[in-house]
Amino acid sequence: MKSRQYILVHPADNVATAITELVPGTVLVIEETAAGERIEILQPVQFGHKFALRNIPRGQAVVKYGETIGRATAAIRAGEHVHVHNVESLRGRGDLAKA
Amino acid sequence: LKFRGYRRADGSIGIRNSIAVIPAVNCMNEAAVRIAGGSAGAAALPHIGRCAYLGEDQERLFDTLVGFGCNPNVAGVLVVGLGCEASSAAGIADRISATGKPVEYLTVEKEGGFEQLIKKGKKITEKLTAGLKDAVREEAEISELTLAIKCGGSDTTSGIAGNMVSGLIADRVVEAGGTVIFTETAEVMGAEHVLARRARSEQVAARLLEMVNEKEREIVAMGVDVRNCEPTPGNILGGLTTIEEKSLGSIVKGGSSPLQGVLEWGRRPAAAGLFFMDGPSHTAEICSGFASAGAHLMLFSLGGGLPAMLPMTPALSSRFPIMPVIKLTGNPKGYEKIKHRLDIYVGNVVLGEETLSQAADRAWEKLMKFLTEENRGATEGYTDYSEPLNIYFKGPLV
Repeated sequence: MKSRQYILVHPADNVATAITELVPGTVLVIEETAAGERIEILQPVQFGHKFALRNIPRGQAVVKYGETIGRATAAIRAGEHVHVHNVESLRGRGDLAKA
Repeated sequence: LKFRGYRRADGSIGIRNSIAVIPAVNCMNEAAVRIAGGSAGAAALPHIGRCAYLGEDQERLFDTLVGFGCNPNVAGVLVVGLGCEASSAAGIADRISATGKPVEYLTVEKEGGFEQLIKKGKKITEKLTAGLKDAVREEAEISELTLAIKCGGSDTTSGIAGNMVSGLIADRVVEAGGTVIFTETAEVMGAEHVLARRARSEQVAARLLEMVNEKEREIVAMGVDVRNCEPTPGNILGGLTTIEEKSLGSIVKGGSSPLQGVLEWGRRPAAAGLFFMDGPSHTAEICSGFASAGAHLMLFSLGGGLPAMLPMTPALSSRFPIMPVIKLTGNPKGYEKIKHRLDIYVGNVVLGEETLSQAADRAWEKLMKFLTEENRGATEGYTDYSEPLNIYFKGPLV
């Protein structure tokens, strides 16, 4: 097995996890997809952080493990860093219940 | 599948042989620590439990202290009380004595003073520890084992490697007829449907969902966003974005067996198999809950971020007094910094250099050694600094 740059957990996921420090301009070939999809990294993505595999419109589900892990709070382009700045949780949201 | 342990009068098997000195109330913590101090076979179990709580919390304190004494790693018990606490030392000792192990109790009231109690307590502890010196380990089956599993300092490697390996270990224990307990109720939010699908019955599924919903209702009633508490700031630094993501990576630590049952915090499972126990997600309450539920050992899967760099895990002393803890990480970067504080490394899985099942084979061998040997693992060399054990009270505190 050769060393990897990312991990895609489930085929339905629209995000993958970086396992090296990814710098803008890096082009990743997503081997899990039949067509060997190519993703250009647009923003720095640290080890353990996620990047988008495709464009995720604002309000759409962010999917990892084949399950919804949250909702995009801004339009996310393929290759962008996906984290707390552009994803919100749908659970334990007392702040929303209060509003 | 076998290991070697100490056979108890009730037929259970211990993987360690401790004399537990249990304060009936936190007023007696100092007495317990002084009595056990300097005695190689004795372990003090100071805790946060006050002299009186309301309703279920009072029962919980009593049951937890009884649970510590009944833990199979405990060979004998001394309970020390003041005399005016709601959970009496005599009552706790009486319930523990049903296991057939030697149990004694003392109160300041009866001994006439604190120093008198300590003096007498030391004598009793000497007598009890002297009874351990000829103890011999005998063969035991994995079906007699109760393994507790927790994750901590979670990051995105937890759900990919560390917790996955823990899950494979859990599956092996359950397949061999043993028992596995995992917990952290808030860390099921967003993944409860996945876990509920594996429930043995509709009732078990319903109880699990109710437990998670109750926790979420409590959070929502506070009018706050759970983020920054779940996931914690440390989890977020490690790349975890939402509680749903954390939960989906967290529940895999219990493996893939059917969910046999759902337990209240600190309660002992009545059968073998995989059990989910109610509880908060912080290490302090969790260790006490597992030890009270009769767990022999806790497998602790760490993300490898900042919390894992502590010599002790947060709020858990360098070791839990009666239940050894094995630490594992799947974070290759974290491991380089804290090698000497970890027992098992499975980060090769993340790097694609080892399969999960190869890593689980290595972890299993290490686990077997821990069961059979007097081994403090990666906590070797640390002091006996110890915080009072935490207990999950539901309140209100009066």
